[in-house]
Amino acid sequence: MIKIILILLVVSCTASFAKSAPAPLEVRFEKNKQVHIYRLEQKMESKKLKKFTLTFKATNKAQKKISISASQAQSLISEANQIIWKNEYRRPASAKSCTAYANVKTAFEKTQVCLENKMATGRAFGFMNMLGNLVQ
Amino acid sequence: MTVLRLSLAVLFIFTPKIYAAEPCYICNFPISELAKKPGKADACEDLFGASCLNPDGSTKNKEQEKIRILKNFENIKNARDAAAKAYGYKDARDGLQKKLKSAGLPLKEPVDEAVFTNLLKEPSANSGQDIGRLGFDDIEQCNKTAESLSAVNHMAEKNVTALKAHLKQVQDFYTTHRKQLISSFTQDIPGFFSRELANKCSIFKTNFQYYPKELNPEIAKTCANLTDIKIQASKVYRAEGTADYNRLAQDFVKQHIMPDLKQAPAEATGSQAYPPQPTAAPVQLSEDTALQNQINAIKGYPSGKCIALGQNYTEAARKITNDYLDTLAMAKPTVDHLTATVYTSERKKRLETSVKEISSNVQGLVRSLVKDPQKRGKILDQYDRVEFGWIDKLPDSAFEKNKQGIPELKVDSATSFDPTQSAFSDGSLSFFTNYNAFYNPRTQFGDSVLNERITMMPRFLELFEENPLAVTAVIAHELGHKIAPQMSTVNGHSTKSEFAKLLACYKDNKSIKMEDNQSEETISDYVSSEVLAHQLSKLPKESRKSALVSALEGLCNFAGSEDSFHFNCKTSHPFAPLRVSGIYGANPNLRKAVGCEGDSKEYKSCGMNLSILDKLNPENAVDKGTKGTQ
Repeated sequence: MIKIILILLVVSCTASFAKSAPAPLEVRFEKNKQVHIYRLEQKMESKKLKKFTLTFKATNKAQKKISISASQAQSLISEANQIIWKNEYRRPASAKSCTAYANVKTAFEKTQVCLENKMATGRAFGFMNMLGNLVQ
Repeated sequence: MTVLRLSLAVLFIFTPKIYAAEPCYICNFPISELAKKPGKADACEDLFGASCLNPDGSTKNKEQEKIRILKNFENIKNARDAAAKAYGYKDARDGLQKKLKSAGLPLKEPVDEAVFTNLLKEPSANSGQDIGRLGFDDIEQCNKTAESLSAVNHMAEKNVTALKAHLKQVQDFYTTHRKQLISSFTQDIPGFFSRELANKCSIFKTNFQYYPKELNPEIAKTCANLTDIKIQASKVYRAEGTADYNRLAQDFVKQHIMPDLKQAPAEATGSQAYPPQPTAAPVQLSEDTALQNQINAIKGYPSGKCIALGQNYTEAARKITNDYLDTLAMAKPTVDHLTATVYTSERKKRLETSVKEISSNVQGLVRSLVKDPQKRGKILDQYDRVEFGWIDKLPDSAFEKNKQGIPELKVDSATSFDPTQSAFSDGSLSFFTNYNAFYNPRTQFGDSVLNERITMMPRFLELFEENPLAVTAVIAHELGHKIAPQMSTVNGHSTKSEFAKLLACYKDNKSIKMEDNQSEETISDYVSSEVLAHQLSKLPKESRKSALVSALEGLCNFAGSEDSFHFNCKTSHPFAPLRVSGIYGANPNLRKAVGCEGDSKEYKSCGMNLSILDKLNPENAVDKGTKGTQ
């Protein structure tokens, strides 16, 4: 019985997630069992005006959020896109494996930044630092 | 039915928790009244106020901090300038301006130097906005032309010559606009794919009733082949930096750039099939009306085109800026300059001596704290091997010449969590601008190992020159992490039982009301406060209190306003006033060392009932042969 209840709960949670539109940007970083998630969310204020919110959530910590302008949001999405492309298409030939550093996702693309790709790692480090500064 | 009822009951039980998530994070207790009294001089009564606040309530050391930030930026600027010179530019600023110009994105003249300086100061945070504020020549011209086109009311114009001239102006505007659009996309293939292709296809596919295929055949074709186009795009992107790149990228963009989405007439977007059937025979139009219709068909909203083009220019320029800064950061002159100025051998010598002494102090604490001889011996041995993160001058073999003949750091496949390894692969060089320090346990990734280590980021290394005691407190805090309850389990020597009573004390309502997730940072602060007690007791009595006040500068830098208290009360670090006054200010050994009478009036006295100062004294320290048996 408990199993059925749990399944129902999971299904109801999954369904509620499925309804929401994908975030235009999400960065996930995990280290020593601590997960940091930066997420950009957009909401239609009116027919043409979009409102953007940047949120930060760390394991066992309160969520922080700030409103940002559309141009700032576009900058963040573009930078995430650059990191994705750098990691996917400029991986050094010598990198044979991928040690996960961070996951970067936009509306259309996603990547797992590998420590073996130093340039993408460095750029992701700088990007997360900037997101952290924004949301502080 | 029973299942449904039960599941609803479970949901009901869980739901309040979900809704309560937000208030759950808000502290239900106020900050100590004393911590609100700014600039109160007596460190014994109000250590936070004395250490972190000015008499007017503002944050202490703000001016000094501003000077330090400027000095730090100046050093990074010099490093980038040295690299830019190697690339043949006058300096980093000159290089960026020329890079943008050669990419077909000349900045509006005269350039706003303040914005330009800011762009180089905090590149990744503000680059998009700053570049937008700098503006571009082409966009300014675009706006002027768009304005003049909009000023003409062609529907009121009957003169055929004038209408013809206006039509030509509109056509020229759009020809130039298309050229500029292609040129800006050429500089940013990832942006072209994402913003122009993937984004438009997403709109096209999800709004097919508004944008029918029949009206948008080119877009339909491109969207059907998007996967193949992406493969082509990635090939072009990989060619960046080669002599062929501009030609390849331009051909690619020209081939795939999409026209504007054409919307079906309003009546066709309902349930009716599209296209609607023609209702009347074509009518012969006069020349002026025909010209008016022709202009109508293409003129649209020229200013809107300039706004969109401006966004494209900004994004392309942002990519060029960040790529350029990445290149400068990896160049040998930058690496050499920053390692030579931040990681000096003199500084290393003094810091290593300091770390050794602080480590010995913490070991003294361990000797008193851990009764089990085996466990104690293990911890003491491990402390001897904790490394101090440092970037030594890199040998020439760490660099290789790039296509322009400039030596830059090799991008090898070294797997490491070591932030010093990626310090130069982040163009914003944020490793050199951040105020932070960290401890990492021994970590293994595949064949690579990152040894147990504490790392002070460059800003703390610089603070060490002005205020060594402040850095002592931070080093002791980082070393303290090693024996904090959870980390000690990771390190194979749990100290949960040793710290149980102390943690219970900090959890008390009369202390800092420590949250469960704050035990690591709280214990690290406690270790730091004991080390400070020992270090300060070596100073002349009359200067100890003021030394304690300045020793907490590092912690004050993390103090937020009272408004942020509600957010900070549940983070892994207790809120700064609680850390400073409730942990340091209520530590009986530290109070005794600086001559404070009795316990703190505001916070419960929390410390270890051990003669730590005696044990910490290096003169009393046991030699290695007997350690672990004491």
